[in-house]
Amino acid sequence: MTKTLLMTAALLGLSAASAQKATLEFWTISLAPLFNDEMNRLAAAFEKANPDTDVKWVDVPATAIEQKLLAAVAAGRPPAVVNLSSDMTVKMVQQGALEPMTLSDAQKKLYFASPLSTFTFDNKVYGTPWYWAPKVVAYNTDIFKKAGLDASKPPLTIQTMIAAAKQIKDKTGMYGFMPNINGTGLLYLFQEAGLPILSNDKSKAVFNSDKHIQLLQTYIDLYKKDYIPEDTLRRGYVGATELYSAGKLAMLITGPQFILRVANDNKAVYDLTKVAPYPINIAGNVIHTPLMGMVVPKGVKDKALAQQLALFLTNDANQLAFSKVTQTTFPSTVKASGDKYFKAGGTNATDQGRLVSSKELKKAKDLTLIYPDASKLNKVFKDNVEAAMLGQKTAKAALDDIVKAWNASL
Amino acid sequence: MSWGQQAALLTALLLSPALAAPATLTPVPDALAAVPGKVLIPAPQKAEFPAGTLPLTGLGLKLVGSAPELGWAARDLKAEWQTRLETVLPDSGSVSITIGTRSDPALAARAKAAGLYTEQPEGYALWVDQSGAYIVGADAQGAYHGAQTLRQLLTPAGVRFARIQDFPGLKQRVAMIYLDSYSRGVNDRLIPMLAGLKYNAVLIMSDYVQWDVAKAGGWASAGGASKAEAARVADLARSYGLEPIPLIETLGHVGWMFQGGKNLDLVQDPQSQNPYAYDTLNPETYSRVIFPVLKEAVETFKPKQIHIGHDEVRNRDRFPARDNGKAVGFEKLFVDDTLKLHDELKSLNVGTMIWHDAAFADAVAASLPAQLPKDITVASWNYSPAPDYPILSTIKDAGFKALGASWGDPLGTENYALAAQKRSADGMIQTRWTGYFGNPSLWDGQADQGVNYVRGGNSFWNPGAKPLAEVDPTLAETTYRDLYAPTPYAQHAGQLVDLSKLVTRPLSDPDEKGWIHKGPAIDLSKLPTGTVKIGAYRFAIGGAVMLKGSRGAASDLPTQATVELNQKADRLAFLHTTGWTTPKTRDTVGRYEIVYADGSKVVQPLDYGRHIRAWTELTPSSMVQAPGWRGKTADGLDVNLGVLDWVNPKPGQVIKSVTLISEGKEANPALIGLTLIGSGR
Repeated sequence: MTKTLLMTAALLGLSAASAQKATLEFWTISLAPLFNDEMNRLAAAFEKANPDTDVKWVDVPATAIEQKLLAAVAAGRPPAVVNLSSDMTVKMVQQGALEPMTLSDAQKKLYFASPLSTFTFDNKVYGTPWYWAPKVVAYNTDIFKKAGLDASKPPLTIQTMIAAAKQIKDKTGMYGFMPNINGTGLLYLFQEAGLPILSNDKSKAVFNSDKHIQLLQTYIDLYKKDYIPEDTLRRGYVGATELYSAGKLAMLITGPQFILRVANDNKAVYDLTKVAPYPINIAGNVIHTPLMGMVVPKGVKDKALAQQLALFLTNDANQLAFSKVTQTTFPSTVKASGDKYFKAGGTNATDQGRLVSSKELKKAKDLTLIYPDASKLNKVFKDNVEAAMLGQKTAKAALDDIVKAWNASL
Repeated sequence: MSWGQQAALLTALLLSPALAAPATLTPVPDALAAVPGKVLIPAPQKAEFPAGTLPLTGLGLKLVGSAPELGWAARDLKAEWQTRLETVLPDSGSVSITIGTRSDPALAARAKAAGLYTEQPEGYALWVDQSGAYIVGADAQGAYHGAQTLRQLLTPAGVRFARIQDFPGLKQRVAMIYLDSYSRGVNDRLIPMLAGLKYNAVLIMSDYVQWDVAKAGGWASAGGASKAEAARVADLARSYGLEPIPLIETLGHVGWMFQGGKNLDLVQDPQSQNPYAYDTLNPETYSRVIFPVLKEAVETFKPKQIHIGHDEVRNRDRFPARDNGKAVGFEKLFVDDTLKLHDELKSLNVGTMIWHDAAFADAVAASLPAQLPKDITVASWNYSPAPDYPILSTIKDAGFKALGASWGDPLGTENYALAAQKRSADGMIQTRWTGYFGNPSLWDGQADQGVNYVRGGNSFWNPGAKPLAEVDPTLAETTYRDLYAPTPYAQHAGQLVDLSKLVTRPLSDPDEKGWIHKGPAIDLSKLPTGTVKIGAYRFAIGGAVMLKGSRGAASDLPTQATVELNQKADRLAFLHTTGWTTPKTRDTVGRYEIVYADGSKVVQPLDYGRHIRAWTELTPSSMVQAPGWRGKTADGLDVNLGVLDWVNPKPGQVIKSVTLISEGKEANPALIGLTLIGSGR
């Protein structure tokens, strides 16, 4: 009888312990299906190190993650950790959707100072930096040859890239490139050209000078003369990758990780692809490189455990492992970044992309700006730039209108 | 009191955290005046309005003919009389509202004699004079559209005299609506409204209808509408002259078929975490899911055409993702799937519509469209405002019927409609993207998308008409609010509250010490002051009772202000705004506390975006707050103020005071006008 009671108690105890396992969910942005194995490995590794946890990975499309996160926080059922880009993090902090983290000095020192500062607002750290990847230009050597361009000498500046794009369209009928001007892309192009966005005290928007107008006008002219396809504004990198994969776009401005998508979609085009550095604008000599991070949403059940998971996912060993899987992204931790893996080139486009990117890292900077109510101001920016591109407004009128709206909110 | 004196008083007042002052009240006969609009929407092709009105006394209906549309016209006119005047429109009278078509020789002759005769499909002649009101449709649909115009000529004093010859500029005028579990409450309001705006079709998002096959397979969504509701909405739409076109997204955007983790063997990309597209090379995709759904949809909606989506096919997962698909290639997979669905629908005597973006993408436009049947209608969504939309000609030149599809960007709808007319497209779709289960947001949350219906109605019927935003910047908003939730035409007396003793900020800002400390280019100096009519309401305006916020320029303001009323009222109208925006939608930024003479209190929270929003924020995401004033700053920035119409739950009790309290957040409340409506029942 006593034995039976003890056994029953032990069984009950076991089942109670099992029931007490903490379920932790972490979300990533558009990593499925290419990186399923690595994400599942990370989940399993954290569970092994923390036997009382049950970790579930959920991948969310980039276009849906902000709304999904806000809805989850509002419903009181947020995931433990969420992967956000730097600009998304700004918006989520402003909307009160994130918890500040408490990192020790030793934990902070794992990361480069610049990436960590990207996730720091009002002296509070809201995310652990994860991966980044400077843009590169994948180009179709066959189209280059048909256009009379030297495939061994890709354009090195924005100006020569535009000239090459015109020559390609004139000679082959195919588009040369799709610049990153959709959404708020122009904000980064301005900064890459050394043009300021805000006044020094951040109280005024200043991107309606003659030089800003001239830069926007350059792209308007390209669009009007059909040197840029219509999909540029509407579909952004998705349309660009699709067109490049179809062998109908000469140069693809992309994060190197997306070259893998070309390999999946069209091996023949992938085999014709070479990778060059993203052409710099000499005036700025900087490349906007959005940084990814891991944040902890407001309302998590166990904040300490959530932070532990964020630190685990972005620790040195896991960042290096992730880079090796993606083959083209770079860690934001000090130690992993020095690994010799990043200095090795290769013959295929992916390996070339990684090497090219690693050389560009010294020019890389996350140019995301922090300003109040970024979501609404970004929409004003996007709407007006589109209106200018499509001929609804002049470049000057569009930039003036944005500046007016921004200045009322800054 | 001069602003200098006010400033001195303010300095003293600011030393305390709260302000309080007794109110000075001014009685007015028109504190609230709900009156009919003077602008007809959609704008008729030709219209004159001679002076005068046809008296209501003795007025009755006279239908000439037996077409169902004439009965619908009578129904809608009777409803208008009942709603707006709270009276009955008789079936006959000493003076008639005559409704018929040109198939009646006598009516045709009268229309000709009036110089308003038209044979344009869906066109009509309408005239109102001392002898009566006449609607002569070129056909029965035209007579019905004429009745919608006549509804707008109704005033409390009678029917405005008018001489109108009208017809649609675009043949197909489609508004997109949704089926979900909230369908009845919303669509029963929307459908009559869309008929009033002279649409002639509704594109009904139907992904999550609870099909029998979905229920049996365990993948029906609890948030979806029942089949009975789908059939009811289709019938209701028909009875308002709106042809139902179900939209069932296929190939991509097919999360609906994977609900509850079902049918995952049919997913295109087996490694996808969010199944998005189906495997076109698996016959089970069609036999188990797609064809049964299409068959049920045909039985339920009895449509002439079904929209099968086919947009954004490659935006999420890999497509093709499976080796057998990769061997075939995207283009052939897309074409073969479209042909399958087209042929299946054709066998059921139903036409096919698709979106254009995947079929006409730059990567495949040169070869894919040529492989599709030319009886497919291709709808081209483009939500960016542009002077022209050549894609419509590209689609037409490829041999298809072409529709444009717009959304909400300023002038996007209007410009696209004009391009559709110029390029002889078949019509336009006013899309709406409020989420599969988002019907309630059409009033509160995403009401701006409801406003787009009004813009679409105006420009699809008459693409050459001036955009509503140029007629009056708040016209589309006020019209939507009025059509979705119509109220009787009535004038209410009340009292204007003089807030000058409580004002903390002037509306102007000549020296960066005023409105929000941004200087004269960014202030409210163009808001009229004195006794001012703002929308349907009247206010006494002299400055702002702006309260504390987290922005530096608002940090020295009091946290609350009390106005002592000691009056009865049926309603209180607050003309208010916030100094700055906040990204936290629905965040409570303040409240009104209404205290009664018996000591009881009612609290009205101020949720940002719902009850109040910043003067710089124009998007009317909620209709809880009524559109108010719209103007510009000195440097041309569009700005606005809203009116919160608070209905007193205790109209019989004296309201002792009203206190505005700020939560001190980024969006700090500012009360600019307060009006008491009615004197308590």
